[in-house]
Amino acid sequence: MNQLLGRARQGDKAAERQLFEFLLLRFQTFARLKLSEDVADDIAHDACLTVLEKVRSGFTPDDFDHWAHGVLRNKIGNYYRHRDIQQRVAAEARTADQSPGAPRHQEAPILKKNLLDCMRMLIKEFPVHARVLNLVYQGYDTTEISNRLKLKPGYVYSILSVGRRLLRECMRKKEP
Amino acid sequence: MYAEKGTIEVNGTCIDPKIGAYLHAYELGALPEDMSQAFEVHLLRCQHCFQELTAASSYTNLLRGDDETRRSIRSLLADTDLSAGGWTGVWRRLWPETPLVFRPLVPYLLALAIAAVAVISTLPGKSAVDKQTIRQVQAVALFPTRGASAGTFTASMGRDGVISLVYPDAGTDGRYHVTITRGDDAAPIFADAAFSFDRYKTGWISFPASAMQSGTYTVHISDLRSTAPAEERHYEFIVE
Repeated sequence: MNQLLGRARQGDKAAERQLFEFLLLRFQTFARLKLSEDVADDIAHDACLTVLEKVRSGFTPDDFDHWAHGVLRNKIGNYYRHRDIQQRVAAEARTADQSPGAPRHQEAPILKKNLLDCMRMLIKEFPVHARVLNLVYQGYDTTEISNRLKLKPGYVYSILSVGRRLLRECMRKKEP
Repeated sequence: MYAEKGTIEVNGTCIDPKIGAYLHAYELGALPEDMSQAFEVHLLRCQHCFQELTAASSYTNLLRGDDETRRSIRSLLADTDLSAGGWTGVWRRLWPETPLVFRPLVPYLLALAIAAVAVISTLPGKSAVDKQTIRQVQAVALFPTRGASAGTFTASMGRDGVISLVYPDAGTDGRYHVTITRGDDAAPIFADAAFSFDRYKTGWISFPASAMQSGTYTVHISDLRSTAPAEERHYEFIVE
């Protein structure tokens, strides 16, 4: 990325395009975890353009990664603020399904079935992971989970990593 | 692929495994905000973690965002006994729930040690020693003397005893003839033609209570390799 950045600052169009695509892919992934897909893509695109404009203008932050991520974060924050204002002005009650903030997933039923089968196996075979997962689904974050289960934070991440590996193996076996 | 601040990404490995461990928590949306941001910054550089994230995104998005899937998993969890208290908790601590490679060794080593003790205790020699009780016996210690004021050892009748005798001429490789006679009886009550002394030139004879009757006892020691009468020694003790 340093090379891309350097070339983009010197006006290399190909490097600019590569940097844009590199960032867009990641920003879309981050934003989709927080927003619906279409809104996330717009915001990711907007954040990438802002970053690129700054790069073109010769702006050189100390830590490019943190700064670029901060641009995306600000865009997402702005979106939420703007949406709240719009909601207040319109005074229209939206249902959760209509809210653009709620991620929409229309995945194939077979994938859901496979996923639930694997989760059933995982919960049965790996109860400590199930206890962590139970707290995740109650809305606790990892710091709170480690406190509640009296486990070291590193062990919580280790449990989740093992669970993820088992889940991934299970899903891979079920792939057609 | 990309490197900065000394981090060099090797193909297929995470550039910072400590932060890379946050992956599943991030996928589930369970990371605190500051750590979530740190992980996203990590993802800008770490090709491995980003590939892992995108490869599983089809179903991890369901885990995180699909209401129907979340409801189903919640009901699965509700049907599972997740309590860790009481005897269940004790059992779970003794019998770990993690996959085999992550199970702590302690319970297994403990079980192995218990099994080893159980096997050893069934061995005949060991169990015989365990079942015996230790009791005191009288010691009849016989030492040679050059003086004329040598006293005679007096032992108690009807008690088990151990006779220890010192033979200054003894060698550790020798075999000696030792007999014990009572009074004027010619027949010895103890005879051993292959008696040996330890490196302190001391030998030990167990003397049961049944043989410990009143009278004067004489211990004869002779070196079987020597024919000289001077090599013989006599010790006397009295049982009353």
